[in-house]
Amino acid sequence: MIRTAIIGYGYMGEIRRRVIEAHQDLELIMVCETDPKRLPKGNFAVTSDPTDVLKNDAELVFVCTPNNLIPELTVECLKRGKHVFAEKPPGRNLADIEAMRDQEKKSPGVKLMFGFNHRYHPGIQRAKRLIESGKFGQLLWVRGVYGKSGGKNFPASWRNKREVSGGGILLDQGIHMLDLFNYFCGDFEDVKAFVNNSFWNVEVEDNAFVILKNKNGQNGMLHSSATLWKHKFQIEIGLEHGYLIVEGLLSKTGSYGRETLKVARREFEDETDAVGNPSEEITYFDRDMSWDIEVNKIAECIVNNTPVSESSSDDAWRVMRIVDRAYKSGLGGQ
Amino acid sequence: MEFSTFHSDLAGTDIKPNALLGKYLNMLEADAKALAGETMKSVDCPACGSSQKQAYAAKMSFEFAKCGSCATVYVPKRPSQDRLLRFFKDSAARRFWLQDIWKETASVRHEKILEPLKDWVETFLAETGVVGRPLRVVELDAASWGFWETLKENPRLQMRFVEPMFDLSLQPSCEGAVDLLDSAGIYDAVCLIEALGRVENPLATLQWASQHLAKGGLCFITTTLSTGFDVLTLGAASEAMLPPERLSLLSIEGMKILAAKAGLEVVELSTPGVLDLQNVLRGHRAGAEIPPFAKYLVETRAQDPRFTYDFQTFLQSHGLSSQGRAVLRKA
Ligand SMILES: [Zn+2]
Repeated sequence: MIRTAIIGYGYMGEIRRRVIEAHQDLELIMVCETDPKRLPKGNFAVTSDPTDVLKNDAELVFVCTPNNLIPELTVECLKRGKHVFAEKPPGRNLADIEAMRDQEKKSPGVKLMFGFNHRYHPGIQRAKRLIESGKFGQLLWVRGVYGKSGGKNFPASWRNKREVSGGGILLDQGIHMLDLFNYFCGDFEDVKAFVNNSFWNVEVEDNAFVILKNKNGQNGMLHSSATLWKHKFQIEIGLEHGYLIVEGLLSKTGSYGRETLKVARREFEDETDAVGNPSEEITYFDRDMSWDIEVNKIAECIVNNTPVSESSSDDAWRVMRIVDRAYKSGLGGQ
Repeated sequence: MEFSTFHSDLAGTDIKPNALLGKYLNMLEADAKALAGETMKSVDCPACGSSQKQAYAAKMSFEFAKCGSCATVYVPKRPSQDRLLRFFKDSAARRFWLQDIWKETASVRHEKILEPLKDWVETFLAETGVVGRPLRVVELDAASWGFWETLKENPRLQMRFVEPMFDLSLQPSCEGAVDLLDSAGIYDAVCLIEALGRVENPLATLQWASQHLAKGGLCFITTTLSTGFDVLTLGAASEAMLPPERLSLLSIEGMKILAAKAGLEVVELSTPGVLDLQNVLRGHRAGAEIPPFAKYLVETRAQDPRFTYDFQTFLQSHGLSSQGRAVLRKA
């Protein structure tokens, strides 16, 4: 059994606990949470001091804290030879992820993985398999919309304090979509963006429009928003012989709608009378195993001593480079 | 449990040409009549096991009943599996089907039915995470659909098939055939294409699949459902009841019960049929009594392809087409 600890018992910490406790190879030995009111009860030690986790014999640590604490805690764990699963975003900026990567290089054999769980949603996995099958030809472009409505307590959230979070909705939520763009297409080098604070009057952006291009000539386009009054997750993937759309996202509240994958094949005038309006086949999903899949991946890497190949620090760095370039190119309310 | 919609321009007559089908049904009727005179085996609902039932329809000298618990439609007095096997070996109707109708419809069946089925199976197999070795797949081919021959085109698959119902010598190639009873093989996937409705004991067949699946292995099923639009609308006049070729029409609820009994988890349960409206129209033209709403649909609206597409999509989205398919997983 891999002795496992959690630092940070908020929304994500709770999810990680459930998955760890259900995993055959993981044993939860300690949970650390600085707010004593949130400390859970269970078959493990609890503490409000993160150094207790650093000092104990946990082999794998889940870092589920606000963004500003992730780099330092991750580096300290890696230094002590502890494997780390850290939430996204991987720090507040490029310097944060680079610091973690530097320590990772100095700690050979220690595994570092980040929580880009959207890759493992059933609609995304199915789309990935269909693209890999080659039946739809080369991928031409990706276009994503990911947004939420904020809510009454939104302005007060730590996510909107620049010093803590490092950025707004693009870094908090849009980063998942950018990671998916990389997952489907590979690196995007050219990044242009408009980054605005259009409604919430917080320190960080509440809307970002990002356009991207890579060396293969593929384009991406993202609208990341905290002013979508109807929650929305949608990624459209254009291919030579058709298109795929993942829409809706299985989540605890269900507010993004049921997760679906639409698949359609291109139809031209000479092939059918349905030009420009092909029949779509839709798959409806109802089980999100993404949390279990990603935790299983790091557990497998540890058990088999294999390198982290997905949601690795390299993937994290590549997506943070896009965010960094978007913020640097960003015109508007910054 | 996930489900999918599907679209195809398949026409019922593509796979069942009217002239040949008429001859086939006449031949089958004669064969069935002779068989029905023998001693039969009495069975309860093949899905849920309930003995509560109502008489439902008389077809080809056999009686169909409807399960009072799960609405599965089935022949409660049926031939044993051994007798079915012998029937299909000797049946002149079956030979006509394989040698005439089958050849006539081979290319359209391949393009519009078997290829989409292959896509479906391959998509799920790609998610099993098996790498570095071929996937072991077996088809339990009760309908001589020869799906394994289509799957064989995929070099990643190591295909085997079991022919529980029909004479192997009628197959163009028997390479890869395994014996149902002797086989101790373990597979990554078991395909039951149109098999459950045809075998004497669907639960035993599914249990066979379960026993021969590796952990995480998948069972792919297609079967005609009693809870589909055309079957419910046409009632006793539905051509889906075709003894002794098809002895059980599981309800969608019965399908779930059966999976649970076999210890298999339902990953997908869909009704991607495209022929419900066509089947109702055909039944109506052949003189079947249908409700006024259905009559209006098929007489007045079903000529508009957009309407047909939307209506079939609605049926599919709510599990209401009669063509069922399922992916079950061994935990
Ligand atoms: Zn029943």
